[in-house]
Amino acid sequence: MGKIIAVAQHKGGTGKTTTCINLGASLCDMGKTVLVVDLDPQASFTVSMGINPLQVEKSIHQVLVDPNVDMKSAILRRPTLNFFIVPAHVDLAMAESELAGRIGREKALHKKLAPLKEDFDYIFIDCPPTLGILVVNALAAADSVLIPIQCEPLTLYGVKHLLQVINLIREEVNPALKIEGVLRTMYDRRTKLSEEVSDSIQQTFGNLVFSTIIYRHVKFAEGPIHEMPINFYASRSVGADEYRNLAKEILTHETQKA
Amino acid sequence: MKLKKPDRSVSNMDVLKDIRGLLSVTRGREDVTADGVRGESSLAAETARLEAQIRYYQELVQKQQAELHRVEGEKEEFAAKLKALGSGKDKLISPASKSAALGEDAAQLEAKIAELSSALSQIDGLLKLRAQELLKRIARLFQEAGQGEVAIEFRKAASELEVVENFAHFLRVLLEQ
Repeated sequence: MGKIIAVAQHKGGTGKTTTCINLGASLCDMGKTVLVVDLDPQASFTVSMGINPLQVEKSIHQVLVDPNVDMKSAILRRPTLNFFIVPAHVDLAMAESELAGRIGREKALHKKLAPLKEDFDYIFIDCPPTLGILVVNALAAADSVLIPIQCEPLTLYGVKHLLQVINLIREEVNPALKIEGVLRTMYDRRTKLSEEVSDSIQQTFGNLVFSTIIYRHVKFAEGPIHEMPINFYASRSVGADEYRNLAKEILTHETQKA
Repeated sequence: MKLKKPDRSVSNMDVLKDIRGLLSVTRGREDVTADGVRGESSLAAETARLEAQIRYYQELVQKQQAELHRVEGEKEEFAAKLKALGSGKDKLISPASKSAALGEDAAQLEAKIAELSSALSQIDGLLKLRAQELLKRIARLFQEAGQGEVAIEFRKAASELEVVENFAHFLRVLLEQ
C-alpha cells in the first residue's frame, strides 16, 4: 500500500517543485515506484520534466473536473526518467470555479488518487502556493504533508497559514492527515539569518524537522534546462546527495513506524 | 535617557508563537485520532521523540554556554581597557594649563639666554682689556731694553686695538637701538 504525500507551503519559491522532482527521483533510485501529480496551474513541475503543458493530451485538470476521466489515463512516463507524472495545464487555474458548486468538491482528488495507492510506493502532490480548493483537495487526499521551509523569516508566515488549513482539514475532511516533516530548504551558509531561521524552525517543530538540510545550490536552478532531476545531470553534486539523504530519512522513518 | 532597542531576532517573532499554538492543536488531534490506547510501540516512539528533544536542548545549552564564555571574556577585556583608561585620566592636562606651563618654560629659557649673552659680552670685554694691557706691557719691556722702535710699534697696535674695540662697541650699540 502506497503513501500519498502532499508537498505544500503557502509561499512560492520555497522548493516544493524541486523537492518533488529530486526526492521522487532519489526514491526511484532506491527501488521505489513513484508518481508525481502536478497540481500547480503554473505547471513548473511539468515544464521542468520537459513536457509542454499546452501539448498534453490529458492533464490533472481534466481528471479533477471530468468524472469520466480517471487518473491512470493521464499518467505519463518520459523514457529518460524513472518516475511517473500526471502533468498540469494552465487551465487548472479554472478548476477553482469549476469545482465551486460541486458537492464533495474537497474529495475530488481523493476519489481519483486513492485507487492508485496499490500501484505506487509513493505519490507526491506538488501543490500550488495558495490555500484554495486545489490545496484543500491535496490535503484531503494525502496521508501526510511535507512542508518545505525556505530559511528566511517570511516563509514562517506561510507555514502558519498552512497549519491553520491542516487543522481545519483534519477536523472536517481528513482526520488521518499527518505532518510527514518539515524540510529546511535554500539554506545559505553565508548568512547568519539562515542559521537563525533554521534554529528557530528546529526549536519550534522539534522532531518534525528532517535532519537533512537542503542548501542553496546553483545546480538546482539548472534543473529546467536539463529537464530532469539533479541525480541525472549532476549525480555527484552535493545537492543530489542531500536529496538522497532525505529519501533515506523518509524510508528510515517508515521502517521505524512499521 | 536611551530607549532600550526591542529584540528583533528571528526566535522572538510572534509568528513562531502562533505556529507553536497551532502545532499543539495538530499534535493533540494526532493523539486523539491514534488508537486511543498507547501501545508499547507508541511509548517507544514517544521515548525516542523525547530523547531526541533532550539531545537537541543539550546541544542548545552547550551552544549558549560557549556564547556565555565568549561574552564573559569580552567583558573582562573591556573592564581591563576601562581600568587602563581610568588610571591614565590623572595624567591628562588641560590645554590651557599646558600652554601656561609652556609659556613659563619659554620665559625661563629667554632669561637664561639673556644672562648667558651678557656674561659672554663681559668676558669678551675683559679679554680685550687684557690683550691691550699685554700689548702695553710688551711695549714697556722693549722700551726698557732700549729698543724704542719696537716699543712704539706695540703701543701703536694697542691703541689700534682700542680704536677697533671702541668702533665695534659703537656699532653694537647702534644695532641694538
